Amino acid sequence: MKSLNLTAAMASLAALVAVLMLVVTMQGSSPHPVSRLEADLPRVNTQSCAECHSGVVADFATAPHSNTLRRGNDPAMMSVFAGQSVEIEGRQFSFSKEQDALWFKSDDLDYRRRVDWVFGSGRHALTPVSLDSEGLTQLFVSSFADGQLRTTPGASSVDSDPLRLGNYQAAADTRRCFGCHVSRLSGKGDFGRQDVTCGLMHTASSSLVAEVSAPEVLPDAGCMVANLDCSRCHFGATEHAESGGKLPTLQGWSELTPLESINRCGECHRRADEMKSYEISVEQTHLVRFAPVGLSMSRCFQVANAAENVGNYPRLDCITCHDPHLPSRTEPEFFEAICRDCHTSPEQDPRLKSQRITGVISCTQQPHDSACLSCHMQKTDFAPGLRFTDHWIR
Amino acid sequence: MFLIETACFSQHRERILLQSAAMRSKVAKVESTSVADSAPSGKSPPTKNAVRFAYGVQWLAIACLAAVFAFQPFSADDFWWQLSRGREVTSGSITPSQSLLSLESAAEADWLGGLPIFAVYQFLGGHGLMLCRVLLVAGCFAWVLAPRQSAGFARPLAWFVVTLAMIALARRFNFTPAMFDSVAIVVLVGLMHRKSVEADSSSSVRRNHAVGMVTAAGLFLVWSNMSPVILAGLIGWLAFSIAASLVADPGHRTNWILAILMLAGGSINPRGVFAWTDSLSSIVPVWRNPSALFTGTPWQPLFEGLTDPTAILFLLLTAIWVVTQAFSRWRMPRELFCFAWMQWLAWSSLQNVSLATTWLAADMLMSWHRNGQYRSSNLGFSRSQRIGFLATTMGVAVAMPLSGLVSTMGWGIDASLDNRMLRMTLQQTRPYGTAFADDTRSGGMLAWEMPQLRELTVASDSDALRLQDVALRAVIAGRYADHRRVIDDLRQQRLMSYWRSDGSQGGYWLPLERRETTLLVVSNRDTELIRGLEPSIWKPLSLDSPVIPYAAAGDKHYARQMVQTLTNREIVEFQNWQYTFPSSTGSLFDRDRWGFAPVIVDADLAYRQAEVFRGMGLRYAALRVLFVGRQDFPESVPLACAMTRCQAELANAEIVAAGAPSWFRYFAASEPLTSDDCSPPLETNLSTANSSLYPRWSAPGSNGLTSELRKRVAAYLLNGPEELMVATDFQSQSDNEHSQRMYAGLCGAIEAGQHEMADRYLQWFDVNPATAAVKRLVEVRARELHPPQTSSDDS
Repeated sequence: MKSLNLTAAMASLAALVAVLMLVVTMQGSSPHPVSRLEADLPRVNTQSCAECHSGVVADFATAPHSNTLRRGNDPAMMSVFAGQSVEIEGRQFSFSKEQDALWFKSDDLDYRRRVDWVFGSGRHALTPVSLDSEGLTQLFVSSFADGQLRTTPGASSVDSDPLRLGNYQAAADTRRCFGCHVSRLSGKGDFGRQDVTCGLMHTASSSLVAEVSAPEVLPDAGCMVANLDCSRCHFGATEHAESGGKLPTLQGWSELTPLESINRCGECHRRADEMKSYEISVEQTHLVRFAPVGLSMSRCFQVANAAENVGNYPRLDCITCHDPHLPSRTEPEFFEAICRDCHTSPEQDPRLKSQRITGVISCTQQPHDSACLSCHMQKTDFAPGLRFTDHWIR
Repeated sequence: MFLIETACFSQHRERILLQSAAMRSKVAKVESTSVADSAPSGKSPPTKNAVRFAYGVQWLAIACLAAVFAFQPFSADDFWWQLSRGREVTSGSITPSQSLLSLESAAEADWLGGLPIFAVYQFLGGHGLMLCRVLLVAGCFAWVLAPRQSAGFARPLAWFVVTLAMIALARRFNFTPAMFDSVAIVVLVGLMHRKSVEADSSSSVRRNHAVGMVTAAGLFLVWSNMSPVILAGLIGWLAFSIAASLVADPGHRTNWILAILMLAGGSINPRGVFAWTDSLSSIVPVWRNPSALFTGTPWQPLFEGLTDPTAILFLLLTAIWVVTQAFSRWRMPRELFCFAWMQWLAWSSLQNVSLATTWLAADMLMSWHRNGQYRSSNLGFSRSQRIGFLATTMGVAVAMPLSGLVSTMGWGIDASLDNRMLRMTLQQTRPYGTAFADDTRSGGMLAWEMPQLRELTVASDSDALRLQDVALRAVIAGRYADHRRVIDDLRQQRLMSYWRSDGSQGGYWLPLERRETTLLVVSNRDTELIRGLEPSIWKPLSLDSPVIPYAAAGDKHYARQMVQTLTNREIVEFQNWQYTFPSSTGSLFDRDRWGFAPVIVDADLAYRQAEVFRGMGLRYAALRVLFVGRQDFPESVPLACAMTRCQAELANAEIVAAGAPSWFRYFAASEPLTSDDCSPPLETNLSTANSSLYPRWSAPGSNGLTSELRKRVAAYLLNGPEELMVATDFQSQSDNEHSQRMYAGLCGAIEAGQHEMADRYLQWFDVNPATAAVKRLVEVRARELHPPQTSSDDS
């Protein structure tokens, strides 16, 4: 019988343990990349931003982007929906408030659905949805800007077979829907956890953070942050705030090319390069809903941002006309003034002689001081109660 | 401190060298003793018959085990990929991957890796390939363990180690780079032990350095041109050399010269010195790719795949190696650093486990051989040997069934590599642009079909189809992150752009558009991806191919096959279609080469097909497969779980449609078919659904009628949907309980494809109005049976 060689045994085991520790260290350093919305990244609180950017934060509170998703029992939503009823295609629908919840029913069904969330700022419409463990039901009736209840945009008919209260969307679609209306979507791993901190740098406003409620793939679960906050569009805002403003935000808007800029807006408002060529034509009237797509197809955008014209024209992208921190402006004169930054004869405006604007196109039909938008960016009725400005400038 | 330790090692070494020499001479004496000689003391003299019996038993064991190891159909995922590479080489390319892949821009070092398998396949065909495999595996196994009159029997522990190693490596003998790696590692270990023997022998022994040098340079020259993992060998050698230097082996300086020769030999290939960096990313995939992406892939770390049989065998061999060292003579084994390196490789990536297993087994066997411990006298067994052989037999008896090798025995090419369906499907198309393949098997299978597809493309005046990438090459070239992210986005139905936590941009639309993708080839194992593709514009061109091609809806180049597949979907889902296990045709893809078994019955085959159907939303078709599968394999846990999941999905669909499930579907989804936890209980979904619905749905109470329905559902889950159709139900009165029973019958008729019977149920509901919830469910079923005509149908 051989004797035990403790040294060799210990050396072998030590080698094994050292190897295991090395492997574990290596593997643990790389988290799986997920959507920024679902990542457990530290988030900056809006109040922290207000310490330096109080004006912007105050403005943003009034912007549609900060009110694009609200709970069904939100008092504002209750006041819009509760007690309202409407008849559509022979079906009678109504909203009611019961036990501090908003409910939706029709007279031909023996059950009703709770309104869990309401999508939209109300500038165009408010669409209620009801959640379950697998997805959401987009209810058939929405409230429009004119205060009327009508068929939810996208629902072709309320006369479903069998009768239902809305159109059902599965989990992936549900997450996609919420993805454009939140600043943080709970990751799948967070569901059911009671100790999640939501990655907030400071204590978040309780109105923004949803309570843990459902255990499955629902956006309702975990620590979802409803509506858009600073971190949603300004990547690296947390680091910027932590450094007292010394560190710049990542991929700042000013660093983006105009196309990159409108494509960032296009993450929710759609982008042209995510459509087939046959989907983009003037005959496709639904494109009016997707402003970045129309803008990117516009001659104004293409000429002003062409590589050979760099520096020859003022920058043109979404934020040239729209400040996302403010409610949308409605007066056409404001936008037409921007049109005239280019569409003005240099001879007529001596200020432009010092600028390098070339290729100025004069309007052949109307004088320069006439309204541009009524001809070139017409408002279009997309559906009853829904009007959009066509951003395909032509 | 270190010098003192080294000096101690030297003194200790000299002392045990003497012991070693004495031991070797003793073993040599025993080995040279013939059967006719008298037995050594302590053993009873064996008779000739007893010795013959022992020989016979050993040869029988070798024959049986060799048959199991050798008769394994080719099943490696890179089988077709390596064949395709070999074909490219024979057509004159020294950069086969570059010729095959649109994203590949660099040459590859291991350009000859696919040539051997292609050469054999080309000249001898698939059966010849299999024959070569059988001869190789059986020959190697027999050569290692064969009892020899002059040298005696292999010891029980040697038997055990060889058998374990063969279980782990049996499927690697495919004439592909994986096999060359094992061979090269064995040669390298042989070289290490040769150096050890030289070091242990007296200084007067003349050393032949030239042989070592030629072996080292030649090995790495050949290896680098055949396989990308040469760095594993070089670092292993360096680790050995460091240990040899630490113990001041005579001639340890030669080891460093050999290392330089290895480095030079490994650089002579089309990739040059970059072969070493490619090799690094091959054995350490996280070097060029984020580690988090490898979860669930063959490159995941070992601790994430500990349930893999190969991993378990590796751990067992590691334990044996450590225990062996614990009884060795050396205070610090020369192989210690090499052992650590191999462990690191294996624990870093599951892909390297076979390599490390080869090293462990080869090192132990050669160590024993060097020390005269590999074989024992053939003059009869001592008591401890008898116990050892008994333990080995029991160990092997346990390991073999667990490894699954017995159940996968057969001839030819595994059904999972059957490319005939893919070929038939693509013959009906005019492929162009580029194709995205989700894994190496999918990519390889498509790559193999490329010449035929080019002919189709030439006829349609389009650019020939090209494959974008395969996972194997993507890992080496550092493209795996891009590859994997497209798959993740397709799985999660993320079409539009978004930003990820690592700063990269997600969304599958743009990457696929930029690559001019017109075809996706998806493994039928990836049901998550199939499920993700279902609502997208990508439509399947086949329902039952191991690799399913997808094309964009509206693409005229694929339209005809797409329409055909739509028709097939309708047939398998709603017509009177029945699943049958494929009959054995004696083809290369039938394990039963000689057609002894009339039907190829495979639970995994049924499970895969059911999961594919379920992923495509064809739940009735999935049920039809599962009923057939479960009748043949009633104990199969995967089939039982698939059945429960399918029933739960149907119950959820009823909740969506009507606000509540029918009693029948609720019972079917709740009935425990296996003790395993297959899916989230239906109650979870019901409780969530209930919270947003009023009035809330409650499970049916227990009474005579529900008990009767429960019994029917239990019979239905066992025998099929016919159990739900009971003629006497039609005479019963209409009430809620009875309408639930009739609804179960209606579902049974639809699932069985008996439309006339289903219509009879519908007529019953016409004259016997049910409760509102059941009525809504009946409306849904009626629409399934008689879908409303669309305007295009009218035209």
